Amino acid sequence: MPRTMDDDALMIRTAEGEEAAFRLLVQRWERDVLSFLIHMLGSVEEAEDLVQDTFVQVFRKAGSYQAVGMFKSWLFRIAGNLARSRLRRRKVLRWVRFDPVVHDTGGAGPGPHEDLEHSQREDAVRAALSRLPGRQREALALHRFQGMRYKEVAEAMNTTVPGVESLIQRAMAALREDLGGKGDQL
Amino acid sequence: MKHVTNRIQAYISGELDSDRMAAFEEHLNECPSCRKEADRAREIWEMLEAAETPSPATGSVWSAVQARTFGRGTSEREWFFGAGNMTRAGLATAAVAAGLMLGVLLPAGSGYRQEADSGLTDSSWLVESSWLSESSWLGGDGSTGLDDILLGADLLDEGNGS
Repeated sequence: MPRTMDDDALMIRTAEGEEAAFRLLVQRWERDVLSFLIHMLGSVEEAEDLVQDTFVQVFRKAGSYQAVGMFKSWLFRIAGNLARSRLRRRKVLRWVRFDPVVHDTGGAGPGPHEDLEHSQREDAVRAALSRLPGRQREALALHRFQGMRYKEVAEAMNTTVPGVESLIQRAMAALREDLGGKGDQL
Repeated sequence: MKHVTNRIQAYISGELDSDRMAAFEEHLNECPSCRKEADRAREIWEMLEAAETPSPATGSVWSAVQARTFGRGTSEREWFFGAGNMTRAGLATAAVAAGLMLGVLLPAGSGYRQEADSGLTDSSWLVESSWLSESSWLGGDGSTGLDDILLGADLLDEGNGS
């Protein structure tokens, strides 16, 4: 199998049951999906669970995938749906148990020898991100951290390009208000 | 002068086409208010870099995903439920087997006493003292609970992300 085979070709082979093609897809995208899910959920452990679920869904839906060069958007739509579903469940559980907001950076944070200032900035930004409404956080995470264009984000979130622009604009306004003068302090 | 604050994010995100980008920058050169807004937005945009997550180790999920799709590799649940796509089928088969077993036992304890008393089978001990006849887990209507078992299988499968 050529090393540079594109995602659509790999998906076609995956749909035919070719394990090596599916493995390549998983290994190609698992880091990005994990990173996105950490931003969405704020918990490394939960994100790791959902990375597995995301790829299991990819495999199960491979037969219905339309190979039109939008694999990344399709993949992140699955991951986003799972993340939103998890967040909804967490909200219900929190309501039932009166749990505090989960924001476990579990291992993703800086080590003890890292710069304190950097650590404070990181914590402040992560906390501000975690306070964004789900769809704003999702749009921002896909665009800012996954480098997806508005069009791709719109595909992944099943919305329009102006809709994405609006979500990101509101997210940035909220971050600006939340972080306030911290940018100068940190 | 018309301000362009509503497109600042699109500008920073690189989402403006070249003509609009040129016009936008021309406006920024002439408008201190919009320039200040753009600088502040860019500052927040750059602060987000601090929230980048480190890259995880490669191959960390493959064996688990493989177990749930191609039925190989390691899985905590594999030894009992079967792997990947077999999970649901395996549970359904187990549920049907359990149902059949209950089907054999149930007639004595749920409205078939007449047959039991007829002497065709001496299963009265099942009726008189059977824990089956009182077992609430069978359901008040004498149902076998098979639907619940199958529903449980669905829920487990949902939990597996199907």
